[in-house]
Amino acid sequence: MGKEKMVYVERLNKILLKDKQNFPNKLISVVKSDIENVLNNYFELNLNSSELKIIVGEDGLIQISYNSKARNIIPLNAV
Amino acid sequence: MCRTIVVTSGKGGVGKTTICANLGIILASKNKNVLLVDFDFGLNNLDVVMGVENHITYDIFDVIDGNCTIKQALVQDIIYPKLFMLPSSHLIENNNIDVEILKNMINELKYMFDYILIDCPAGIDNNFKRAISCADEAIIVTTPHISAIRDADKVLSLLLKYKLNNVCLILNKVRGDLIVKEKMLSVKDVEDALKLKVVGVIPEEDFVNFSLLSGGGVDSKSDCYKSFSLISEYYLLGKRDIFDPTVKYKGVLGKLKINLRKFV
Ligand SMILES: Nc1ncnc2c1ncn2[C@@H]1O[C@H](COP(=O)(O)OP(=O)(O)OP(=O)(O)O)[C@@H](O)[C@H]1O
Ligand SMILES: [Mg+2]
Repeated sequence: MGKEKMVYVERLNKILLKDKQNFPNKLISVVKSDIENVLNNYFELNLNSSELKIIVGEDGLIQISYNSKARNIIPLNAV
Repeated sequence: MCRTIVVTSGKGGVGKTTICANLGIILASKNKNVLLVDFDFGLNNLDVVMGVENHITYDIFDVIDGNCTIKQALVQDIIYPKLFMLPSSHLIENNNIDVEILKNMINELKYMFDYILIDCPAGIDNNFKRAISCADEAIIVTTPHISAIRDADKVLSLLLKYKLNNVCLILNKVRGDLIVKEKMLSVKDVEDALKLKVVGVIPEEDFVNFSLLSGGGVDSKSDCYKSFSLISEYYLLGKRDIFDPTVKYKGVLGKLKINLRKFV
């Protein structure tokens, strides 16, 4: 591939990636609250310790990690 | 069963209306019942591209307002009797049409047609969302330029929400001579960037404009026609055979053509 075109393709890929990395801030809080709503059925979560990370890698793949501490496990048969 | 396909892009002027019209014409010429629906409310042009602007009595808003039945609003093509259009109106500026009303309208027409092609407006506002909501499949149109590809990528991510059956890419206004000279992104470059399957490549041709305005679609001897014909085979038979715009610019004769194109 010629240099001029390579620069163009690189620029295109960078722009597309940047657009994905700039996902809306709201997303983190909405996803976090959804995850916590589910986990709350099974654990007594310590919400001060919880953290959700969403990182869009150079390859465009999105790494999602959620970390939290819980004080107790809620028994499965509890209503 | 009827297939309802929205033709969308994000960016304006990339060829949505041209593709809707020509794909519709070719499908109808191959004996399929086809409806073209203009969802570009207020900035509609499908009627002009189809050459039927003087044959319109009612439009989609008359149906909504109860001035006519949906069948009365359909306009039959002058050349292809299996091709119909549901026109929009130029008089509408702001509208709050309920998407459910539009969906019901499209659903009501499904039994009459094999293909319903929806011409989507540029942008990603409510009319875009309404158009997408009425479809089961989508064609994203882009040209091989960064700004159009970027908008196509945005549209692609928005489409995820609608859980469509089949989302494909058509690359329009491609110049084979520039691809050979590496002055334009190739089909593969665009496919790689968007990670989406290309089902059609349409060359940029000088006379697309004029041939369309007289109705009947692009000239059947043109490369554009060949390209639309291949795209129609994908939608008819699932056969993915893509027009190669670089072929005629390869080899000794090709080099000559590239040089000649500079002077056109
Ligand atoms: N392959 C092509 N070669 C040359 N000209 C083309 C080609 N495709 C489209 N055009 C021209 O580009 C212009 C824009 O096309 P068209 O109206 O189909 O785009 P659009 O995406 O529907 O625009 P809008 O977003 O405004 O609705 C028209 O003048 C059309 O004739
Ligand atoms: Mg248009």
